[in-house]
Amino acid sequence: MKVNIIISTLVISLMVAAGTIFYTKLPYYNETLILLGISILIMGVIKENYIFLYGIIVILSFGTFLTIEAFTNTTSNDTQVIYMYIHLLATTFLLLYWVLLHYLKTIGNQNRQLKEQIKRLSKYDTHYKVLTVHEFIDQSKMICKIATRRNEELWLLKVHIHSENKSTEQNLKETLSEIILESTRGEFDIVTLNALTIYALLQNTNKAGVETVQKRIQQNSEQFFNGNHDKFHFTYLSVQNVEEIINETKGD
Amino acid sequence: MENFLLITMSFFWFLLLFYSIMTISGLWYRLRYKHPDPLEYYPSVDVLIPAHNEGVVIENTLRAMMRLEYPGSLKVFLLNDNSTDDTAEIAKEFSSLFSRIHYVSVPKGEPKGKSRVLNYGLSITNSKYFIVYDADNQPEPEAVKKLVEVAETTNKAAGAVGYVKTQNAETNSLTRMISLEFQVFQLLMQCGRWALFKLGSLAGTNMLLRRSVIEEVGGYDAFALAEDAELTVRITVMGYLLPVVPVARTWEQEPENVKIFIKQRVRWLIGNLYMLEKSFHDLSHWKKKTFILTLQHLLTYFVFLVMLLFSDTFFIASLLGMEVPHMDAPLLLLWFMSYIIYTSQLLSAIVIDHNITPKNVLFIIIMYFTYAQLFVILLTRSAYLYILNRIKGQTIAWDKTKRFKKEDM
Repeated sequence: MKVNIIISTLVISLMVAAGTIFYTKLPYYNETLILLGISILIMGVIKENYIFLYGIIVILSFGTFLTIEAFTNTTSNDTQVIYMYIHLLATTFLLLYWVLLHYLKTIGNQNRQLKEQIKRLSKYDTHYKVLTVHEFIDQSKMICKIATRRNEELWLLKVHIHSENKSTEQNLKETLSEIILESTRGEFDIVTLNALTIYALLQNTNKAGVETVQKRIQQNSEQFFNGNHDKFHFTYLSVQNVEEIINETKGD
Repeated sequence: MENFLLITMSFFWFLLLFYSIMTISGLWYRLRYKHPDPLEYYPSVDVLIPAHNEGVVIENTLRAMMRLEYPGSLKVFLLNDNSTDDTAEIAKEFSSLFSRIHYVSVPKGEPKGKSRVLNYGLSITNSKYFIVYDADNQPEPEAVKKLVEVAETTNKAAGAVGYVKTQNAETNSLTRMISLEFQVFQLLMQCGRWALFKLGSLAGTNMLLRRSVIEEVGGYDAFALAEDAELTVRITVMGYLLPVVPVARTWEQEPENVKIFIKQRVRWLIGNLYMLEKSFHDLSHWKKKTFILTLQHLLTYFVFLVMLLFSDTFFIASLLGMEVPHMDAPLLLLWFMSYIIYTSQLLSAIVIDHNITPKNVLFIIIMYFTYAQLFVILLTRSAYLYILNRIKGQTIAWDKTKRFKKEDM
């Protein structure tokens, strides 16, 4: 609501400033309106950091022009006052337009930052119900420390998805994620997805245990896929520290 | 009379154009500023803090010094200039606990003042660089590091100059306007001048210098009240550069009442008049880049005052309907443009410092009619005191600025 009021006020003020220049038909009003029109275009396309600089250059240059004009034509005080009016109107317009652009940019930036923050803080991927990669790495750090202290083995099971069709890719990933979550121990093992690979970190197990999980995934997926052995394949490795996990999860 | 007015007008217009170009250059420099990469090796730095009766502020200052993050050797020397309050006691508490802080009692001597104390501090230290902080300053943790990074990577740099921000800007109207003035000064006189002429100027605080350079120029001038401005000229004459580092910031207190403000500014202006006089009989002040520094001094403290008085007189006379000398010049528009340029400078400063608030904008609109006019009183008083002291053959005494108790930044 507040944002709407501010933007509306700025837009109306801009229109009033431009309208005043037009209807009062002050000296050089045509040239001023053309200058402001060009400025709207330029300020709309240049980098945000340089918008104010451009505005200041135009304001000072326009003032210089009017002063030189007054010098060469030996204008009266009344005419000088009129020149001051038109300069103030043009300055008001440019500054208001800059404020409007700056305000819109600020809102856009705040929105983007909030979205990034939400993404960062999210623990679960909303589509696939597995952990976000960020959260997976965080939890891996803890798991690695515990495994080292207890002298237990850690295995990283990777499920490589074969997606032949973009339109089914999303569902393929969702289904496989769900299958893997059901096939692993929810309290001990963690799962994430990055691009076309699902990673499951299995703690306190061994090679035989990993192969058991693989078989379970295979069996559970039979009800969902036609000839499912084409849809994915497995690789797995024993991991000693979180750096290995980080390298593996970003490598595929 | 008309010729005199015409010449004054021409100088006036030249100054307006000059300051317009400086504003734009300053903005351009700030927008394009890119800080150098971290160094592989950081040379030793000694921090010198001259202090005379700074008990009100010194604790916060030393706390800020302990928070400085510097990868090389950094020592802080509190130079106690015969304080009669608890400055020594507080400083000794810090120095007894922290190896970084060193308490130094400066022997009595003449002339009194910051320059003599700094010269003493330099005589007992031996780092590659030294940096001066006023006793009410709280630099940001990376300030020293950033200054050194620029000084070490700029060819022919004598050191580097950081930014000074106002700690108590929100206290009252005076401190707000002082804060705005500082922002403009740093945009135009630091960044603008550097962008155009590769000219920087020392600010009295948050200024880093190579020890070898200060030794080469013969140390601080103990009789100079504006020791930073005076040293700037001598360093520039030697062909050294003073790059500006906007990202290296310190926060300091400014006077909170008009009486103390006038006292401080009169001291600064007397210092600048001392330099102006020096430039009239020291030709080195007019060589190469120093020419621009000295010319600007002359224009600011002599020509500007004349035309400010002139414009005020003309404006008031016009308002009262009195007869003014006829001139084929758009005097009203010239006056208007001086207001526009002055206000544009202030606006540019707050924009580039991301300090835009409705209150600041309001103050900017009125500053030309209020704060800027104080300059006439200040310069008149300074000129009077300076001339009086020169006639009497007296040394102008150092006038300490009163401090106020403030929270840690």
